[in-house]
Amino acid sequence: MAAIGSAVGLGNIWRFPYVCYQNGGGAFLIPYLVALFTVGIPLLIVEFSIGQRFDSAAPRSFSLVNRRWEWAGWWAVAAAFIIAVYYSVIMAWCLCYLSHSLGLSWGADAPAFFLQFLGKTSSPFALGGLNLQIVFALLFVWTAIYLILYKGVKSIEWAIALTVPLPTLLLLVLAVRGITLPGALEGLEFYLTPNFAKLSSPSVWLAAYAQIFFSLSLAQGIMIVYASYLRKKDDITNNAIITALADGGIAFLAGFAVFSVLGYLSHTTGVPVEEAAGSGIGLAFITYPTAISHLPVAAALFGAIFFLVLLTFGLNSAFSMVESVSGGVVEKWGLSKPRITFVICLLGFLLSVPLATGAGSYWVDIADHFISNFGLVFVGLMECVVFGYVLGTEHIRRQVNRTSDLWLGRWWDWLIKIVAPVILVFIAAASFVELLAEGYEGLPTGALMAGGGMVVLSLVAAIWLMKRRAP
Amino acid sequence: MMSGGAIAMLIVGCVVFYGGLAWCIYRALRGRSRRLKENEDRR
Repeated sequence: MAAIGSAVGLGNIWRFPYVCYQNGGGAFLIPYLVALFTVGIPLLIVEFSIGQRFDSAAPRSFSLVNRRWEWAGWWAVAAAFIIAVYYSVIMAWCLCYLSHSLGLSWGADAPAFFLQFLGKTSSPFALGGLNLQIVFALLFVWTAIYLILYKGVKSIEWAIALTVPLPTLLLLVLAVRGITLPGALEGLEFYLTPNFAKLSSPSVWLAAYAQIFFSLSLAQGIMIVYASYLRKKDDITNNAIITALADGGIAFLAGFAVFSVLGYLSHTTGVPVEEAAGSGIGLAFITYPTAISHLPVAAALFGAIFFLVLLTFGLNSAFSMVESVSGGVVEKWGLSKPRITFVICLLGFLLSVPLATGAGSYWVDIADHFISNFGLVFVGLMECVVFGYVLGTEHIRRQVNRTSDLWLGRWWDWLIKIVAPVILVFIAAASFVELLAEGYEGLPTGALMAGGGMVVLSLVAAIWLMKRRAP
Repeated sequence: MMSGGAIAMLIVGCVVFYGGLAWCIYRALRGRSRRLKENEDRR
């Protein structure tokens, strides 16, 4: 349940719809399904088995396979930390929207309200003012993450048990309301119709693989930490498939809620669905409020509950990211866990404050694009190499098959050793070439270089952390 | 009306995600009840 809690988060409700929208709707679903089965589930099985086998966080797990590869574990941890920083900003927006939903402040024009709420500037380098509302929300979010981890994840098991089914139920209500709005079918048509011409674009494939990594919390050391709590007799394969399908199923449902509203917006404004809301990370903050406003009864109450559970949904994933970082540090240096968690949360808060400026949404988008599309994909590639070749997939397969009803054959070895690495290298290289040629979302070259710099910085930090000697 | 491609994708999505999830949960529950029965038989 904790693994599902970590996997199912804002990645499904916030990220999946906007990435899907950005990559042509129906054109995205086929690569998404392919990515789920070629990399998502096989790698999830690897991470579960590694966690169960070594009973450690990612850096130590990599180090136990071979000390020279410890940096790859730290790279996963560094990526998790960067994601936690910008993820907290999305949660802060959720918290602000929670207060706005009480009076349905977004009114009839949710897209305009979102831009006004952010105070969005014209360029990533024009910072604009600091939005104090978001700063206070960030303080609340990081304090909540710290308190949860301070008290211990075990103490909030009830919260995890509640925060997975409740948002799913609310999402179902929003999807039903969205589908019954006029023009909804037009949006669903855009969401579901496969666009085979788009399949030739490497960036669509990279986005699908990146979404799988982000959403399943892969290559961030999270699932390795969680799997260390698994009992030796637990069925890893079935657990991995259930986690992956629950995650994908909720994302698929979120698509109905979002795209039906996009169809409605297109119907009312006369703008085509692909231009109805403007693409980008704010999509969820435009479509869900619109659907909430159109609920027949208790819209304000429903809106408040929706953003509250969205926040708790996000907290599930966020504290697992911080847990991944603190677990690695505590294991290596033997420091006090509450103290190191405090330092990580304080650092996370300080780094997220600049994202509360008018240019913050640009930087959230840039960090998300580069860390998910390149950082996580590279770490995933390292996992295939280290656990596939250095440790050996045969050992993992034997360990997994001992307790699983569903047996893995040699085909799984080929998936981890050949198919997944080849796909990841090819699409990352092709997308990089496409990025150089076409850019991203019309952002200036300097901003894109800064995004690439984040990936390089996370790698440098990983190597530095590996070289720091343990006492 | 939705196009044939969209309806096909809808069916594929539902079968893969919800059908697959239901099947895995069924297998997990069946496995658990089988193990419980084995434990009882052993006692």
